[in-house]
Amino acid sequence: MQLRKRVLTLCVLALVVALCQGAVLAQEPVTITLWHGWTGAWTQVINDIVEMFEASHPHIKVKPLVVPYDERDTKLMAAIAAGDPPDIIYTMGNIVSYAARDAIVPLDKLMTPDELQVYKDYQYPLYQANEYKGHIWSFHGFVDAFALYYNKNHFREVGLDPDAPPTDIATLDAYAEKLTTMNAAGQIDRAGFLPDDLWHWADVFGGSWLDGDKITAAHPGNIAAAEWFASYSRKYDVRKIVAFDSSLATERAQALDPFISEKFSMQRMGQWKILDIDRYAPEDFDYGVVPLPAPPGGRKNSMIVPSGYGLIPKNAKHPEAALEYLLYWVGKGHEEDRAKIFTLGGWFPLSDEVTKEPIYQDYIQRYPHFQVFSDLLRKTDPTGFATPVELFYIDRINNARDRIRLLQGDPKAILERVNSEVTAELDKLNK
Amino acid sequence: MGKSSPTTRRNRRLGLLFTAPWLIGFAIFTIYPFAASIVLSFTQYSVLSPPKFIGWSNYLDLFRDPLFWTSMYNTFYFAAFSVPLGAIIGVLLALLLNQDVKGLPVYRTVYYLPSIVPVVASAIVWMWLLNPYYGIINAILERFGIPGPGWIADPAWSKPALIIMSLWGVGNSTLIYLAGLQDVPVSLYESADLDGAQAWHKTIYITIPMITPTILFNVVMGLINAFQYFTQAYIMTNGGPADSTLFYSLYLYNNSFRYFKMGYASAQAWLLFIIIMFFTLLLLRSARHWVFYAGED
Repeated sequence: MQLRKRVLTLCVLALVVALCQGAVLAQEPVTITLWHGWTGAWTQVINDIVEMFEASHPHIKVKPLVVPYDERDTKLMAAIAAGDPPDIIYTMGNIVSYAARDAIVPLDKLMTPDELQVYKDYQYPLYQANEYKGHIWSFHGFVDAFALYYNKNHFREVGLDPDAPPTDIATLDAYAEKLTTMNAAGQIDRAGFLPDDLWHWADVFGGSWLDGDKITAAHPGNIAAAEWFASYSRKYDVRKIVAFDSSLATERAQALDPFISEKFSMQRMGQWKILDIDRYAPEDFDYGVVPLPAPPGGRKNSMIVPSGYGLIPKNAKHPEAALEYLLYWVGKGHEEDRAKIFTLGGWFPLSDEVTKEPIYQDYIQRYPHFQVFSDLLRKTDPTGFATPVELFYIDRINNARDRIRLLQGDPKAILERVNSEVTAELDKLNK
Repeated sequence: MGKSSPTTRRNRRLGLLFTAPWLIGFAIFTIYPFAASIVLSFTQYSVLSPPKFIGWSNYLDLFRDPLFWTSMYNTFYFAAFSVPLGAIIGVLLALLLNQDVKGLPVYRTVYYLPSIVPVVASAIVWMWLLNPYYGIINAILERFGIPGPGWIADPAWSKPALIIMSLWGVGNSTLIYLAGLQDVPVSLYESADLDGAQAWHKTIYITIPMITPTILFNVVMGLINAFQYFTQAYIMTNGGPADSTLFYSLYLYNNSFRYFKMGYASAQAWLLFIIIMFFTLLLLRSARHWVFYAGED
């Protein structure tokens, strides 16, 4: 009996101690987990940003964790199913797939009216791209925009005016032909230009992949873009294009980037390439950047934003702290920090307040090409891609692109097939 | 059950105790997922939300899914070439490596080496070998005046490229064939020698029949592996170009982990199980016509 009493007392004591500890812990900062996909030198960039955030938010600690993009969905599914997801995750898209499957929390429900206004002001004009079915699901942690890069030295070499880049498709095609060179074996040595991403170029041609919830893969603009892709295969011999393209496939990174290694004279690329060129290109590398050329009746200044979304998974342990981190990226009250984030990773701030910061201005002076993208972001509405079958749709579009490029059939018929396949997939989901 | 003695019972208890770690692991990590996937194959399940029972819909949808048939075709194509070629080349290599020549251990090691290279590493190396511009394969073809194809970039050549690549890893089965060859009784060759048989005859009438059990084993294993072919395609082509390397397992992976269709993927997995089972049984049944077990009549 004595023993039992003693044990009981000990237990009560232990409980009291534990409770006290808990109270002390509550005073300590909360720790949020952040999953992101930046590897190599970029990992440090994220760590630096986290450090800046922690300095101004002493009550929150952030634990960044690299989860490579290829594994993200698998890991996130497992983490959510197991009830132990991260507090924030950065993705390149597919947010509606998550939202439709109830895997992420609507951020507007976490936000005060003030925060909502800040968010709208500071994410303009892209805030709509985060919305689906009347809710806000993500914040643009970073923004990517696309434009046409062209090598001025190549222009001079073939007698083109380096200050008059193409602004319409016909000129682009003509210049591409002039700039393309062949090697002794009759293979493409340098491509003047090759159409790459059907999804984006369709937008340039005035096409569209979605009309609300409806799949519109066979939109006339998409077909026009597809015909244009096919025209390159006819002009340059599809086998040569395929061989050229796959010869590059293994060496796309950094210094071996095909534009930097002068395999292309003109290429559609995002704003981050400016920094890669600065780091890896030789001294005399001379290039320009212009908005993507568009055909008559097409969409001028198309830039599409398939960029990084910050989201909060369902069952995240500290959604409020996570939201604070997301708002920090937006820049309100931390304009200087936000301007600095831009210089660290080339991630555009969307707020005019942030662009007034001296750090931002200095950076634009140093890399004037950024101005083209900055203008694009303010001139055009982004093209969203809000569908719960996003990855399936993208896989089908890329497959169609392959077929069209390989001249495996009529572009219109190929896109119509995509339309019926993806519509069926969507119907199955909604059944 | 009759009454067992205390010792027997004690032994049984101890036996169970000592095998418990494996039994528990097997139950949790194999039996449970197995059973769960049967149940899930009758549901719509995204992992993110609870499964919804939909009866046989997943199975019926599969047969109407054009991508399912594409992946099936690609997989059968791959199996139809890689398995027989793997067996023929494996046996030939084993015969060569069974000769009494100088430096034999070195040769044996060299042919086995590819099997210990991690799959991902070898896939990356092969992407370089198959590179249409800088790859060594096309460089060699060019020497002979043959313009090399685009290999994995060309839908007409992507499957053959992967089949050729699969033969590079034949060393594993070669080793098993070699073990089979060592088991062929020398006395058979000696009596054949007395009858004046040529090397060719000895191979055809003694060696090959004597290693048919090994061939059967390797072909069954090869078939199973071919039907589950995934990693290389995932890394090198990701199903492209134009779905030409969308293999069954790759499409299954996409359905489960890219398109959040775990129920559909489970149905697909069970269908694959049935297919593999069918062909394995077919092979085993055919075995009585061509497999020769020493010691039997």
